[in-house]
Amino acid sequence: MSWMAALDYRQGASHRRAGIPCQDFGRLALPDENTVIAAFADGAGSARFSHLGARAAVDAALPWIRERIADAPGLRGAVSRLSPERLFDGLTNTVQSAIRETANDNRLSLDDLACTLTVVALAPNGVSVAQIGDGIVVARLSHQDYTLLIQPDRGEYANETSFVTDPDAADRLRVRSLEGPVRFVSAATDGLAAVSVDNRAQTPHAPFFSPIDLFTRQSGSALEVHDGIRAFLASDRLSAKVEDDLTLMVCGWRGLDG
Amino acid sequence: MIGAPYTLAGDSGVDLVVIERRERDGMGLGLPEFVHNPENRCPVALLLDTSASMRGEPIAELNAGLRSFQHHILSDELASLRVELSIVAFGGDVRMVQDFVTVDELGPPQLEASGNTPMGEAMDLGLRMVEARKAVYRSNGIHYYRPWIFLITDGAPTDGEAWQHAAMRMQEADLTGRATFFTVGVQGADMDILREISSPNRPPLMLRGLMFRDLFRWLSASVRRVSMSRIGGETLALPPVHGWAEIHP
Repeated sequence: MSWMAALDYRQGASHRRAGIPCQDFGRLALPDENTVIAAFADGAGSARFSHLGARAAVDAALPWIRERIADAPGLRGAVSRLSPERLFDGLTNTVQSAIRETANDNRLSLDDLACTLTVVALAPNGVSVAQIGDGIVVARLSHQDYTLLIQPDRGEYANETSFVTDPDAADRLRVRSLEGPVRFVSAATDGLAAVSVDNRAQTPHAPFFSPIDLFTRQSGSALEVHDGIRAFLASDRLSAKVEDDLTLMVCGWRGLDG
Repeated sequence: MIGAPYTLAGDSGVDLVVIERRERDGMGLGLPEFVHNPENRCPVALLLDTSASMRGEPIAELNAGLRSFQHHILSDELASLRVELSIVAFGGDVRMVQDFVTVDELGPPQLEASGNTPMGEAMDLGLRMVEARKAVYRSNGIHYYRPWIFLITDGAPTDGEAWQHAAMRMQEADLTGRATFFTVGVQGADMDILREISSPNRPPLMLRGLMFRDLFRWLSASVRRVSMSRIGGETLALPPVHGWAEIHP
């Protein structure tokens, strides 16, 4: 029994045509055999160097959450013994400092590196997420339906959200935990939200997630899962629907039950 | 849903199956089915002066400009699903010539010129239509971009004080981000009044000659950009206007 986990990101067609770098960035790690942590960021289209911000945010967030969990490990398969509020307390400051440092090194302002941030931590018996911005995180516990763990934070207009570089970012950080036997977690940047979440009902679109879920659980290795999502992100069928940069993280528990 | 059932493959077939999976968009057990979410909408309201002074070549060029706008949007698959156009004409009276529709459903209206210039009433109607459209989007769970309101005139308002109140409401809408308000003067326009009407964010532009087609080509390129962006219209870099506009001090 083990996690099958992978994350990949890909430059959107519109950015490729316009010569704009991929502004999505993400990383995933397994600090031990029971724990998966992932962080990804979506750079603001309005910020010229947001791809640098996204990278700095993820590079700061991932080691930070690993240490937090190591300092306060969970019992009986939980992510941590801390509440999600306490677990993620300090994340915004850490990430903002890292982005500010990158901005200073490049003689840029914090706003030039504006990006969203999503952090996911999961263990066999729980999942915790933190987010500033408009990513999506979907989870399925054993014998349950898919749930949207965090609603994307959107302004009035389709293209507006909050960024980890905003002055009030700490107030905009939203956290959530779900306890129980985790079977599947998938997370994505805004680019995939339109094709995977029902806007009106604000619920995950099960026909989107269930094939990925099944694929992940039945894959022989994490490498295979990675190849699968990489090919999916590059597929013509997806590109025909989505122009934006894309990040997709999937993680399935390959155990004895569903 | 396509793809060979991976679990049925025997040991000897694994490599082959893996290759096949890659060819089939990655997920061998079937592709994800996308939610049929309606596209984001990018509403554009045109407030067009059709007063008597527009008679002849100006109105003909304006009509040609509208057709070229439609043509340019339709040439872009995504923009044609997202850009919605409405038209208010003011000449003698104020008429909603076209309520918001996607551009493929737009029968290019043949505008005719007559009467005076009730610009204030036209601005109020445009603003009301935009707010009503937003309410429709919201109740249908459709995401939308900041609406654009585009006023084109070759004269000066003739509806007494009405334009001053309407201009205040329009500027407030622009400054608070409820809409983005552009003003364009055509030869003969009272640019001083147009400067009073326009938002402090965006001084009026003066159309070069009757280059309506170039103006609408710029407008289509700009809203295409907006309709694909992830950022507010305010900070979005728009194409240069020097092809069709004279910069007025």
